[in-house]
Formats: sequence, structure tokens, C-alpha cells
Amino acid sequence: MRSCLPYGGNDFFVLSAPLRRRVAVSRFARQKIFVRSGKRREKCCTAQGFSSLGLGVVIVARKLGGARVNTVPHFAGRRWNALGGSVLDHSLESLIHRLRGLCDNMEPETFVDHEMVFLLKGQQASPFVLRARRSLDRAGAPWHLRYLGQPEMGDKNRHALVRNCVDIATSENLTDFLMEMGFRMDHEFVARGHLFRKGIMKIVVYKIFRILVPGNTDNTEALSLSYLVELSVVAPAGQDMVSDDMRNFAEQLKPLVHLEKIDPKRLM
Amino acid sequence: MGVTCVSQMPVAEGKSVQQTVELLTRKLEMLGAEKQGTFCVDCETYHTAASTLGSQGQAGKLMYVMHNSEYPLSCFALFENGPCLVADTNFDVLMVKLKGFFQSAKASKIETRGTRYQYCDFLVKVGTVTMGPSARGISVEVEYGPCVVASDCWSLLLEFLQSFLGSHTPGAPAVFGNRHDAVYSPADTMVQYMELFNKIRKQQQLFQPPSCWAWPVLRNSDYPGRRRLELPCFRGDGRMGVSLLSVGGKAVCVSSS
Repeated sequence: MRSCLPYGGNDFFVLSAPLRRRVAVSRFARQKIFVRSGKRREKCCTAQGFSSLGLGVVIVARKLGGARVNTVPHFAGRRWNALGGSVLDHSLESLIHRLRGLCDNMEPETFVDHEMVFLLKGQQASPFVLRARRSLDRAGAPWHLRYLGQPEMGDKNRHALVRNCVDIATSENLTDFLMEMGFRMDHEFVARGHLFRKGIMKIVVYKIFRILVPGNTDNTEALSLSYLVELSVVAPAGQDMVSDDMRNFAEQLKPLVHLEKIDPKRLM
Repeated sequence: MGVTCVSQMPVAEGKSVQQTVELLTRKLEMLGAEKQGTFCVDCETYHTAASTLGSQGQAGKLMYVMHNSEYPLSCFALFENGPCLVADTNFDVLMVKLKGFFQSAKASKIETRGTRYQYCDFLVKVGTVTMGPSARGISVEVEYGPCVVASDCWSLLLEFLQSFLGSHTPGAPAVFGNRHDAVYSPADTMVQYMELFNKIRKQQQLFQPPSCWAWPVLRNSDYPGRRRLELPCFRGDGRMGVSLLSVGGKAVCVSSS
């Protein structure tokens, strides 16, 4: 399966339809999908809709005169780029004030999330980690399941921590389902804080609360006297200029908070 | 999205899967239903890889990952008698990442494809269930849009099913029995499809060729002085057929239609 890196203004993804032919797709909606077999290109179907949740593009296409074809890109991964830091409680107000000025103009958004981390132990050395997150203050919001791969150690010049990322929205019975799959909960916590956005960058300032009685999210206690600050971007693979933009933004937050690339191995 | 009943239509005597589907769709069109495009429901099976079994200490479970063209941006993952998770299509990508722990059962993909018909408040989907290249059966799904509580509209659904399925009308699906007044959801439809696919997979095992490959059948009236051997054979579409070998004098191989 060959992949095409994004170029120019359009992203082209190569994906395989059940017909086992290579299909080149234009990312922007309502484009014609062309089936490329060898050197010939033939119009095959019309994109009817797309979703850019997480994984690039999912297209529901209608083959001309035939059944609906559901196609899922196999290769197009997304990467989670992050910079992190922390501020003590008494500096929180000035940081929030600065962020309100720098970030997109929107209503200040607070959140209370409950996150559970699940592990699946196999014969491999490292267990498979999945994070299930749900909102405690927004009724009806879907649960969020996230897989984060190992940090990419390749480029020392890259300013941010980069990890492969898969984000999935799910229904409410996620924990029961994960237990049925064989996952076991490793730990859980409650995160309470503020959310800001600047373009595709997300800045979250939150405090972690330890849950004293498993399953009871009302009875919590703060883990420390500080707030964590996380600047993150989820972008398709191949977009390396993202970390430069993140570093430039982080410069503007100094000296209130120093955001840097966090090496998770150092913390272990 | 309303209360849905998924059932299997047995193949008519002496007819192929395709012909039975055509009979059904003709009946529906005579009733006055309008054709409204096509649908597809597919199912892949995963089982826990051997490496995780030992540490978990439990028997390997089968997990079904299903898609329904009626809900194109969703993916349904379920265990038999277990929870059904409704997720978005990135779940398929997660299954790729989990391939060390969950392996796809060989040749396990089963799907049903066919036409959608709208008849007033009913949405009827008649599909051919295929496993690989061969057709295994016929699925019939009927949805009654306005109602979301199964116990309130089962009798109406039953009456409608009887009008075009006749004696092949199914009983109430097991999912209805579980929660009488609960709101019906698409996950319940997928559970019904999973049960249907499992039933069809088991039926496939009945189509095993007999241990004796050929038995002679003497038909003197047609070909006096010759014996005909009827040999069971498989067609491309999975039907059992008969091929005739004429023996005696000059041997001639003839396939029947």
C-alpha cells in the first residue's frame, strides 16, 4: 500500500477499496474519486461525505450504479505533538490572563474529565496502553478512547514530543467493553482545568486529582500544588513545521511558564 | 432509526439464492415499495491471540467488528452475550495496532449486500449473505421508523412481515425479550446481524460433501443401456449441484444446470 504525503493545498490519500484497487482521493469534500489501476485512471465514484475525526479522511462513496463502498485509509496516521510545563497555583491567574490574550477569542472553557488508563499485558515486554476519558460536567458527550504510541526519537531538532496517536469516540459502555477485551485498569484520575485554542494548537491548563475510593469521582484530593500546562497539536504525519509553530507560541508564554519537550523515559 | 427485526429467509426449493431474492423483491415491489439504493452490513471476527491467553487465564473470546452502511461513520464491536461498543471508524485503525493481541480469524469476513426498499414507514432491506465468493443465504431486515420501543410495535411489525414473508415469518428476536421498555438502538440491530451470521456460518458446515464421492443412479428410461453417475459438486456460488457422468459405451461428461 503506497502512501502519498500531502503536498500543495490538497491532501491525497491512497487507500484500498474492497475491490482491491488503489483509489486516489482528494481530501476536500464532494470530489470525484478516481480508481487508479496501473496507469489508467477512471472515474469510479463520488464522495458523498467525509469526516476528519482523527484519521485524515473517511469517505463514504457510492460506486456508480452499485453498492455503497466504505473505505478507510489504512496508513494515514496522526501524530500527537506536545510540549509541557507547570505553574504553581498562585501563578495560575496571570497565566490564564496571558493565554486569553494570545489565544483565539472564545468563551473561557473549563472542563472536568475523568480519565482511566487501561493496560493489556501480553507476551510482549511492554503492555498495550489505552486511555479512556469521559466528561464529568457535560452530559451526553461521548467517551474518548486514545492510543498513544512510543515517542519518536528520530529527530533531535524537533522541538516537541511526537507520538503516534489514534483517537476514537465511543459509547458509554467503553469500560465494560475494554474489560471484556482483556484490559485491566491501571490507574485513574480526575483532571479539572481550562481549555484554550489557537488555530490547531490546544492549550490545556489543568490540575490532577487523585481518586480516593475507586470509582467515586466526587471524593478526590489534589495531587500537587501546581497546574500542568500542555500545548498539543494532533496533525497528520509528515507535517513537521507544526513543532516550529508550537515553539514560537511557547516563547510567548515565557517567563510565566517554560514549556519544553518532555522525555517520558526520564520520568519513569 | 426505529425498531428493527433481522431474520433469515430460507432459499426456496429448487431455486438459487439469487432467484429467491428476486422473488422477494418482486413481492415487495408489487406491495408498492420503492427501491432506495443499496446497503451493506459486514462482520469480521477476531480472537484473542495465543500469547495473551496464558496470562489472562481465560478461554479465547471471539470479538466481532461490524459496519453498517446505514451508519457509515460508525463501527460496532461486540462480544457474543457481551457488551456492544459503538465507536467511530478509527476503531478499525486501533484493531490494526492491536494485531499482536487480537488476530483476525481466517476467512472470517461475512457480509450481506442488497437493496433497500421504502414502504411508507417501513424500511425493508433484502440482502445476499456472502462469505468470500460464495453466497450462503438471504437476510431480511425490516425497520419500523416511527417507534423506538420494541414492545409497542412488535405486533405491527409481525403483521407486515407476514404480508410478504408468509410462512417464513420469524419469531420475536431475542434482543426484544431482554429489555421490554428500553429504547431500541442500532447496537441491537448489529447484535441481530451477528446472530444471523453465526447461524449461517454454522449452516455452512452442513454443506459438506459426502464421504463417498459418487454413487451410481440407474435411469434406464432416459438412456437405455447406459448408467449415469451423479456426482455432487460445488458451484461458484456455493450451491450444491449435480454433475452427470454418462458411463457405458463412450464416456461423456455432462454438467447439469
